[in-house]
Amino acid sequence: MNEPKIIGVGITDFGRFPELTEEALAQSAILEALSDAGVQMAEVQAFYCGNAIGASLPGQRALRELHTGGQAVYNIDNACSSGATALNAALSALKAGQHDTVVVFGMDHLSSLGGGPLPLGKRDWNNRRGMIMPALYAMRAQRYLHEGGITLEALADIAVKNRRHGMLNPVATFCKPTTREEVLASRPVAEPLTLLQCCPAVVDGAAAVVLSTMPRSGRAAPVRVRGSVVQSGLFEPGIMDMTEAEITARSARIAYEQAGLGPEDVDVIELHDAFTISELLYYEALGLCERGGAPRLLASGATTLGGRVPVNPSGGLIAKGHPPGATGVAQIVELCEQLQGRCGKRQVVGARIGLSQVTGGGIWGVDHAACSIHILSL
Amino acid sequence: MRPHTRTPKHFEVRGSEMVLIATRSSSQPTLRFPPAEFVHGDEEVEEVAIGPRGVLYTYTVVHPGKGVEPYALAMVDFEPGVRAFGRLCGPLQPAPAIDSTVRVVPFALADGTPDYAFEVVQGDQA
Repeated sequence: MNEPKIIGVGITDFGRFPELTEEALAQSAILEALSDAGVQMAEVQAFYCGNAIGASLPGQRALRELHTGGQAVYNIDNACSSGATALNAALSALKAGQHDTVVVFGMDHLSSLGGGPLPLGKRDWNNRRGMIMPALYAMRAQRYLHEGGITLEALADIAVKNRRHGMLNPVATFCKPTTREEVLASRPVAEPLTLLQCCPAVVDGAAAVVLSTMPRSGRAAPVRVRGSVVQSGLFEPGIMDMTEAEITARSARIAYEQAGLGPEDVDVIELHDAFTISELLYYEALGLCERGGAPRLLASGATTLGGRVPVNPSGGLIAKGHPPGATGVAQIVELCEQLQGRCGKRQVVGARIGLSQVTGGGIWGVDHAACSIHILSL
Repeated sequence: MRPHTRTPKHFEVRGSEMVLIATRSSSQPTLRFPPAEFVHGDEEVEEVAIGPRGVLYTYTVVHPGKGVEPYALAMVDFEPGVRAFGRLCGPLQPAPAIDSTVRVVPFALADGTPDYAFEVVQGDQA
């Protein structure tokens, strides 16, 4: 059996499109990915759809007007990790020889919700008492500020960096440049996090990739998936350290082991910067720096375009927005194009190894419900 | 086999003070709050009062905007090793200090259901 490789990618603009549907966005991304791969719809044997907010049967809703021929559709909801989890499941099927060519896509349409934080389960203990995702991250930030592991300036500088990157990404239609002062002066959402430290609440988008074990000749070089990990949160009702991103550190260890690589080998990263604090915590969890070293790493310029290991050259969630079903696949699209040298002004020169990380969901008793990490190379 | 639903109380008023009720069982020996809502088989659940005082691990003030008043949320650590999440009541200016002593106080959920919250213990009472 041949190694499954990513042979085509597609992505829509990320922005506010109340006149569109998630189905329309997904179709656009899928058609672009098929064209990029040089694959006909009839050659696709299965579809894996990541979707977190939409109604049931999202994959079938998106695909019916593309006349797919009735191939299998697997719908996967793992909150913000849905798209990356779909990729992981597709890789398993390809490696098992179940299919030879599949499409993975992710989509969400937050305009349909009308704004505000992502909806969480209403019966959840914490959510009944007012928990929202920005508050969970804000409490992490508050504690880490107290312990001296981060600074308010470092939080703001993540927002500045990622929006600077996003200005180079034509997909990030919602992105505007900002300054540290503007970030800190924007209205509070959940203290110490201000509005410009949160990914925009109402953004729509979709992304797709084509994977195959067959030799293909698409527009760009095929991309290998050296590591693919999905992990779930541990039930920790006792006293835990909220400044340690345990599930990400655990997922990273497994992914590095699969790939036979370490953090020092990674050239470019797309990670889950839903809030500024998350990027700083994930620097440490991914092994880019020691505990408490994230502000120094950021200040050194290492994670900025032109630095040692640029993080979120796409602009990340903060600049692009975060339609949760699409985010994990969008990260993969960005990494593929970085490795293939197709990123124009935001190209990471000489990028050979890319890593994506995405977490998912807030339920009481666990750090995060899900985390997925992928490591890619040509 | 079907699980047995419990209808546990999750707080209790004792004189002038309020405590939270955590649980543990043979299958879940670590104390947990909120208490278990169901058990499998004939497993017995032990209820353990925690509080009335704990330590403020972290908190945030949420600003919903659109005319909705800000509210505060907190994670509070109790002996012997239980963390509880809930609303943080009382004055927020000056800002509560992390690691402050807090106590459990009565509160009501948005639908009027009696519940608990936390309040920083001021001055000599801490």
